[in-house]
Amino acid sequence: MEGGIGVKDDEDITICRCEEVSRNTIEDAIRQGCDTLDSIKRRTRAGMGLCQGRTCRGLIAGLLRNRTDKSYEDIKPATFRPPFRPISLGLLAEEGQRITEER
Amino acid sequence: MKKSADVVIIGGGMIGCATAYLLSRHQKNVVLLERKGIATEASGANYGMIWIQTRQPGYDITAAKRSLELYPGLVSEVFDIDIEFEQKGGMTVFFTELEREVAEAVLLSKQEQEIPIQLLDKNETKELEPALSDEVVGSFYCPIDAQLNPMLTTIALARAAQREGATIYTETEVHSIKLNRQTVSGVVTNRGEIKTEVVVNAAGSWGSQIGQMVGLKIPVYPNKLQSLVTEQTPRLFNRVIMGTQIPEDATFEEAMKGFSYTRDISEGQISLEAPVNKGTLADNSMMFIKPTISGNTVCGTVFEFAGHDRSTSYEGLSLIASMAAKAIPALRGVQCIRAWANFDPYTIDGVPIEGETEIKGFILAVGHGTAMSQGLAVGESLTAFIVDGKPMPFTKQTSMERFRSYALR
Repeated sequence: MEGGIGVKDDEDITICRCEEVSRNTIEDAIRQGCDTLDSIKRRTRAGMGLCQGRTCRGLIAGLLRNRTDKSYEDIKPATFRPPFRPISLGLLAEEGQRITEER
Repeated sequence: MKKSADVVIIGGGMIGCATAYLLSRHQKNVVLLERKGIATEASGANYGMIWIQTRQPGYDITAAKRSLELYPGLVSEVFDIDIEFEQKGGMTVFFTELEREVAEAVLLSKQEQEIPIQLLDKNETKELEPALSDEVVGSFYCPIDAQLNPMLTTIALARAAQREGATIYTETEVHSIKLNRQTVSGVVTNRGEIKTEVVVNAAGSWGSQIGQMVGLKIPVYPNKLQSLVTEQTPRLFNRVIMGTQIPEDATFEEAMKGFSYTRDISEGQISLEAPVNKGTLADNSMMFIKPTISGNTVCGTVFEFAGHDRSTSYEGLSLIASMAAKAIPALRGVQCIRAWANFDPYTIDGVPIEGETEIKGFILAVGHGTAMSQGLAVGESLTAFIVDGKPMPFTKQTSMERFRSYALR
């Protein structure tokens, strides 16, 4: 067992469940030079799914800490913006239509 | 950090990475400096379109067509990651008779530019895109328009550059540029200093800040675009679909201007100062919807000038949703999961600023609002200029000199 993500060193597990990104894929990206949460996201799609990284971002930070010389303090979180939960496009569109009609 | 380089490129976006790759192939010792990460800004947050149908005469259409020629070879021979390149054609849809009439009027000028564009009626449009709303009355369709994943494309170019020997430093900020008698002599960063005689400013909407370091006022400004991304679904539509920016109550003349996607600088005096917002967000909106390989739909956009303020707004995202839902009603039932704002580099005439300046060795490659369409060609012409001294093409359109000829205020 190792610190950070709580599984054996060589065990390939799914880290980002929404986008089905495995630990090996993320560690490959780190080996290729991705050393921020943001660059791992851009390279592998980890954290881009329905939950927007709420499940996996801590695990990826753990992998980054284990595989690079970064401490948790050095690992900057990604930008957070609304929507904080998925929202239907139709619901948003109603407001947009109201604004357009008021012009 | 390296102590010296033949060329230092500032900016890890599309223009910087394309230039780094193409230059490195000519054995120039190239260093690329990026303040954040590769494709972190506009090059990672745009619609990934290589669109020919909206291009302007001269520089714009030439650069886009050349770039489009170069992509397939890079995809099959050079890139080690899949950039999701798809040449499925692009469509601009019309909701009003006015839009359709304007399209008819500009069709000939498009054909004169050798843009293979077709004016489709309602049935032909629906045949290509059955999910489109019944409100659509017709469309422009350009079969050679293509799409790609802009993040992965920029990253693929950066990786190709590294394989050719370029050195890339991310999270590396440029603090100053050293000059010796109006000639570039080095770049000072937070990680150290690099000696060089050539600097390429490819900092996009931050290009003016880099210009200030050598005392140049470069009129490029951030134009903020908001975007909305949906969850993954089976493909609801097949290709990038765009709307016009023509208001329903426009006159025919106003509509012609709106349709050309150009900024009119012919009337009166113009300012090279930071632009100001005209009208509401709704007045500055344009519909884009893109089906991606991963299954998400990317929707845009509203434009505004807000400096480098990165926030998205409820108003902006609502407007984007309503434009998307108007075009593809089936999108109403899909969940939105993410939104972003990015900064397209804006110039007063919509044309990038390229070429060497009065500071010897300080070369500009900024202001590319559609860098996915232009970037490869820009990298190619910069390489020919830096390696062989071959003049940049279309200098009358793209050089800093052109601003002198405008009636300034």
